[in-house]
Amino acid sequence: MKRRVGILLVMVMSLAMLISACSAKNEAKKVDGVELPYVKLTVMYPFVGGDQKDKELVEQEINKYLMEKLNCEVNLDVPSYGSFTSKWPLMLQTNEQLDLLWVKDAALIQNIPRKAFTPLDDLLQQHGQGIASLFTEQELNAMKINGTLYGISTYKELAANNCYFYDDAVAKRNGIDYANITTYSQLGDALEIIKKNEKNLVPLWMNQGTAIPPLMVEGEDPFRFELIQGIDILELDTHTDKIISKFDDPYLREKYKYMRSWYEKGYINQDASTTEIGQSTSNKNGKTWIQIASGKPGQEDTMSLDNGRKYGRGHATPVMKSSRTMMGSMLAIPGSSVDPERAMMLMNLLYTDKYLLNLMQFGIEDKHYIKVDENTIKLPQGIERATDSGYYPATEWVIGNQFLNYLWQNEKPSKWQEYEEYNKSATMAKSTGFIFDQTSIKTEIAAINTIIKEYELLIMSGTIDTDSGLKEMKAKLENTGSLKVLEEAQKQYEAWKVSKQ
Amino acid sequence: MDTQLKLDKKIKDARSRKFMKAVVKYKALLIMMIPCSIILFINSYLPLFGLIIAFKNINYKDGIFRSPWSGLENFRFLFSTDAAWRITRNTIAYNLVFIFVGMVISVAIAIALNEIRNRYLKKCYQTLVILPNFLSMVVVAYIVYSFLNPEQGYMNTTILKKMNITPIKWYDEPIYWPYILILTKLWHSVGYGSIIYIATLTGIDSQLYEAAIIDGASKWQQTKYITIPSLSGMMIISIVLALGNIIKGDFGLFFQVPMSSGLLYGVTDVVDTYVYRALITLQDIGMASAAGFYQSVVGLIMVVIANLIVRKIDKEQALF
Repeated sequence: MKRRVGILLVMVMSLAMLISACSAKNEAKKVDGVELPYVKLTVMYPFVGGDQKDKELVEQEINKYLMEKLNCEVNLDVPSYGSFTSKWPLMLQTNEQLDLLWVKDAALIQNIPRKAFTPLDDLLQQHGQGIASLFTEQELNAMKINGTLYGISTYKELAANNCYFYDDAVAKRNGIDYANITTYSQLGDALEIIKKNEKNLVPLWMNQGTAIPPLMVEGEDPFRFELIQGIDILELDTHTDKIISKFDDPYLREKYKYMRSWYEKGYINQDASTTEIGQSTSNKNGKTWIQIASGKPGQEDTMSLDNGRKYGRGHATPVMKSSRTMMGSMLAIPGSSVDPERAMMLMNLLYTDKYLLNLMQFGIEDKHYIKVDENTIKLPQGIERATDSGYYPATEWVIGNQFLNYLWQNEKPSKWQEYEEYNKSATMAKSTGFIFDQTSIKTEIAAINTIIKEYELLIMSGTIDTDSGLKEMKAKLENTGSLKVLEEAQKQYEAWKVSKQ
Repeated sequence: MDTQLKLDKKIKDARSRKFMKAVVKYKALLIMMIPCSIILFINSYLPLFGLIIAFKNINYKDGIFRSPWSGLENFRFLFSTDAAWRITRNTIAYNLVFIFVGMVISVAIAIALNEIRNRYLKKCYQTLVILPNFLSMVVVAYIVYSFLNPEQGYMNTTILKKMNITPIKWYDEPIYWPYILILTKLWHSVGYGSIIYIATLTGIDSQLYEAAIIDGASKWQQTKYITIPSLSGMMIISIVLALGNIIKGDFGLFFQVPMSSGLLYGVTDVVDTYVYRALITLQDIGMASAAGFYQSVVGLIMVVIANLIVRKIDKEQALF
């Protein structure tokens, strides 16, 4: 008797599930003449601005819109940046459903041999025409890995360079004309003045994760050496067409020597090799006066706003476009996607649908922002900072087509034109499209990583002697098979050159 | 033949009846054991099958079982550098010091606390020595940093200044670090380690001490002939168990406290920090599992050998 009741119960419940499965929401629907069954997609990217109070609200709004457009709903999995970096590898490793994922270059390249991502070439042809028309053929080729497209960059500034920004007041006070500082020896003079006159400032702040000055040494050809995509320590010598270790780059060696002499003279903070405080934090706290950043348009305004003081633009490295600069922020479709086609359709909308994209970037109109005109928005009454509005994830450069984003009232109306000009002004790197594949030598790479981590920071911050440090490191590297890595890189490069013709 | 079988069956029945009786008799204890057993099973036995990841060239599409085998390829990175000797030496040497010095101090603390008659003072001291254990290593690292920072640290600005010694760049000088690390670790862990000995001490029959006092034994003699022998069993168990982890470095201690200063790697680099540095950018779960597997195998061998030695000396004290 008891068992029979149990069976009856199971039957009733499964019937209920069957009925609910057939309810209105989950019906197939015709969109643009194509029959689309209902799916729920999981989309994962970082909320750079941290958790947002009204995320659920915006998500509902997005789903309402997507139901009409694509007969699908999305589950937005949007951790803050810190937890994102540890969460996505687990999602891939456990093969959990994930239909769109934001990735950076190394993350994408390393996980392709592990079959973690879906090739996008055909999908782009069929369902991603909007995306394909935005990028040039050359740009799409630069994002390909071994001839296959796996990730597509956010449509934003696709070139990159590094630039020094100086605290304007400090420079004026000391009579430093920072706009004309282009070489290391000129910077050295400026640092000396600061060291003498400004007792409370560290002339040059260095730490792990802070690059050395983007300036030149005498006789440097800034176009000669190009860092290779796929590994952080190899460069292509464009004069000889040979791959070299970046520690054999003569200009770099020269620069390290300057760093060493500055460290010894006390221009660089003495705890550079251990401190966790970066250059930007140190600028924010008013402890130093130079900050390295991307040289993209409007950067000095952003920085002045962030630091609360006026910053001026100094010398910048040439604007380059390469596989490195174009793969810094991409969307990819993981292998665990339940419906790659729909994921591509959704991705296409992110690059073409102004309403959807701005809904995801800025939230709901009249609640999280107020429209001033067609393209300009401002914060609602009574709210002073965007972070207080309840929804401002600061993901403008993370997803979609940045050129479709609204502009805040205090931003230059010409921002996107300037971005476009910046993109156009870029020089295409010679190695664009070549991506180093580490798979066959990952044991060597792992061992080399430990040696680089041991020495690089010490050498670049000037904490140890340049020549003896580099020599010691090189000997250790060669012992662990760095020559084998160079050989493999040269081989891959030659093969790539042949395939390109 | 027939009678033999019957007899066997009878014995069997008797045994199973005895077993059932025992189950009924100890049912309270057995029920109490269930939660722990489940946790042990989930955390320690279930993941065992994952060990095959160490021998596979894993890809996510085929999953753990269908990915291709790769032999011992994943283990190669552990032994392919000059660092292999350095990390093994550091890991084992530091752990030996931690185990033996730590145990001596823990026992000393336990005995000292046991001698305190005032109950409130006793609790107070006990809390004070155990407290550091609840600090995360990140916090400990910054406590050490506040002492050793080359420019603002307490050591350089106050202590060394008073002694007229020129400031030392602590994070650039490897020679001091073995002492700093050992001191930090002991400060962090000995209090907690003493708890188990305090518990054992309360179990010693007080008649033994009374008899000793009547025989005219001094405090030192009581400690030497009664307390320490009573604790020796517990000491041996702790050592044998600790030896199982001898090739696992305390990651928090060796990674956080030296602020991952490259100049100190010679004396601070252990297996765990090395693996972290090698794989943090590579994200290769095969190689990471290989490192874990290697550590576990060495640990197992150490436990078995340690137990063998103990059994040779005193069979009663051996774990198994």
